[in-house]
Amino acid sequence: MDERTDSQLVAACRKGDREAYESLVRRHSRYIYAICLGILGSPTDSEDMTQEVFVKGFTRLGKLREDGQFLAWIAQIARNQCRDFVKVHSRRRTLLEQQIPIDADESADFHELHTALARLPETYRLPLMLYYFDGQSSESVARALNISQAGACTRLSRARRELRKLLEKEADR
Amino acid sequence: MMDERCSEYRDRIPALVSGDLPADEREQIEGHLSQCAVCHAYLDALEEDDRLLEGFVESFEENMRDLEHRIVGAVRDAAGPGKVSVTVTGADPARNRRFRILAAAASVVFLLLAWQLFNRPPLVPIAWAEVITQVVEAHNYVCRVWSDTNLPGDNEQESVRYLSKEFGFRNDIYADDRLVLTEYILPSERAFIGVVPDDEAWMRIWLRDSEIEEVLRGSSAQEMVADFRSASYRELGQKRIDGIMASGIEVQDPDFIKSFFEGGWMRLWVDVETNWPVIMEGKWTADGGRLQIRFEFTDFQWNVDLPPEMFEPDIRRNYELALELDIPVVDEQHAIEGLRVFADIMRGHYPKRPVIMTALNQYFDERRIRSRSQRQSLREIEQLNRVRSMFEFYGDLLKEGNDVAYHGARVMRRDFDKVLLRWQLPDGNYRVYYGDLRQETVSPERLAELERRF
Repeated sequence: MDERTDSQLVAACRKGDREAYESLVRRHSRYIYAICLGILGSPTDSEDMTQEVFVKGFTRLGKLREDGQFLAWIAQIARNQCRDFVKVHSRRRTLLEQQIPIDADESADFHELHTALARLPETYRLPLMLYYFDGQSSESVARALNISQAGACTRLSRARRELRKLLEKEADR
Repeated sequence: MMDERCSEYRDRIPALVSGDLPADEREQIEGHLSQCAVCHAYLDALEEDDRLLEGFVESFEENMRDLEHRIVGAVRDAAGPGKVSVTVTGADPARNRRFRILAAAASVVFLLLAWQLFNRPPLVPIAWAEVITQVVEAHNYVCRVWSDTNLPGDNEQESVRYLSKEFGFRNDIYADDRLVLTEYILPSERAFIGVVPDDEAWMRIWLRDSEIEEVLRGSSAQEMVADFRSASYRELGQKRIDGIMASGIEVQDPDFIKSFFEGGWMRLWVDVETNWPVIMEGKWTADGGRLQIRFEFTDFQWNVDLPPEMFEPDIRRNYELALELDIPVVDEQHAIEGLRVFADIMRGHYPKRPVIMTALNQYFDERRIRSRSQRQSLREIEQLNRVRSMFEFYGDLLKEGNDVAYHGARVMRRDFDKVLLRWQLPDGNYRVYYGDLRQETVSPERLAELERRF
C-alpha cells in the first residue's frame, strides 16, 4: 500500500515515476469503475471504460492543473468518456440496456437484481453504485455528484425506492 | 393494514436503511413500523435489497483485481518505448475519403491473411466445442459488423457480411448510412476486389491459388469462432442480449492476432438454447495502445439462401480500375525489400514492432504530418502492400522457433552497426540484418557483442 497522498503521487508521475501512477490506479479504480457502471449499466463495458479512463488520464496528466485534484479530474474524465460512449452508441443503446450480465455461479441470486439495475435510470443507478462500491458513504456520493450530503441521502433513498419497485416487478414476472 | 400515513412513512423508510434519519424521525418511524406489518415488510425487503447489493459488489472483487492488472498493463503499454506525440498540421489526408477507403481495402487483405499466420491451438474437450463445430460446419452466413477506431476523423463503420463456402465473400461497408465500399473475395477469379461507388473506382488484388482458401477462411466469422478453441479462454457467465439468454467466453491476447495487433480481447456470446452465436465482440490494440479498434459481429443468420449473383462485383462500365496489386511473395528477399520500402516512405524509420497495424499506424501518423496528392497515396498503398511480406516472413520465423528478434523501435536506417533483425540458422549461427539492411551471418558470441550496442 503506497502511503503517499494523491498529490505526492501525481508529482512523482510528472517526474517520470510510472509506478506512482499505478498506485493511483490501485487506489481509485473501484471508484472510477462505480461511476462507469453507474452510467453505462454494463459491467463488461464498464471494465473496458475504466481501463480507457486511466490510460487517458495517464497520457493527459500534463493537463491536470492541481496535483491534489487528481480524483475529481479523473472522475470527470470518466463521466465525459461514459457519456460520449452512450451518445455514440445511442443507436445500439436498447441492445446495451438489455445486456444484463449474470455471473455463471451466482445467476440465481443476482439475476433479478441485474435486470432491475439495468432498468434503473442513470440518475438513481449512479448514486447506488457509488455508495456500494465506495465504502457505503453518502459523503462520497455527494462529492462525486457534486451535490450536498443531504441531497445525496435523498437521491439514495429515491434510488432504493425505485430499485424496490423494479425488483417487485421482476418478482411478478 | 396500510393507513394514510403509510405512504408518507414509506418515503422515509429507505433513509432509515441507510442510517440517514435524525433520531426523532427514526423513533417516529420505528413506532409506526412496530404497528404496521405492511410497512415492516417493506423495511425487510429494503434491508434484503441492501444485503443483495453488498453481495453483488462483493461478487466483483475478483474482477476488480483482474481489472487493476489490466489497467496497469495498459498504462505500461501507453508509456512504452517509441511513444511519440504527433502534432497534426495542415490537411489531414486520413479524412480524405478515397484515401481512407482504399487504405482500408488494402489493409483488410492484410487482416485476412494475418489471421492465418499461426497454427490453430489444440481442441479442448468442452461443451463449447459443439458450438464451434456447428458454426464451422455451416455452409454460409450473413451478419452485421460494427467497428470503430480511435484514428482522427469519424471512423465508425457498419457493414453487412455474406460468406458462402461455395461462392466467396462479400462485405458491404457503410459510413453515415451510405454504402462506401464493397469488398469481394472471389475464388473463381482468384482475386480480392474492392468497389468504391462514390469514386466510381475499384481495385483488385490478385491472390495466389494457395491463398484463396486461406483468405476465405480468414474472412469468416466461422474461423474467428474456431479461434476460441484456445484453451486459455475464460467463461463470462450469462447475460440477456436483445431478449436472448446468451453464454459467453473471452480470449485475451490470442496468438492468432500477434502479427496483426499487439494485443486485445475477443468475446463470444452464444444463444444458450440454439448454440448459435449472438454477438462476437472485441477490441484490438496496436502501436503501444495508440491504435484501438473495437468491433462487434451481430445479427447472425446461418445457412440462409445466398444466390451466386450476390457475389458478382457491381463494377459499372464507367468505373476506373484505380489500383491493381499482387499479393507479395513471402520470403527473405521480399521481407527485406518490404523493410526498405517502409524506411523509404517513413524517412528512415522501420516498423516499431513486427506488427502490421503498428506499422500502418506509424504510416497514418506520417501521412498526417505530410500532405501529398491522392495519386501518391495510391502509390504508397501499393508500396505498403509490399511491406506486408515482412510481417508474414517474421510470423513464419516465429512459428518455426528460430530465436528471432526484431529491434525496429530502436534502430533506424542510419544505424549501420546495430542489429535490426536476426534469427538463428540450422547450424547455430545467426542471420543478422543491420539498420542499413546489410546482411551478415555471425556466431552467437558475435551476436551477443552486437546486441550489447543497444
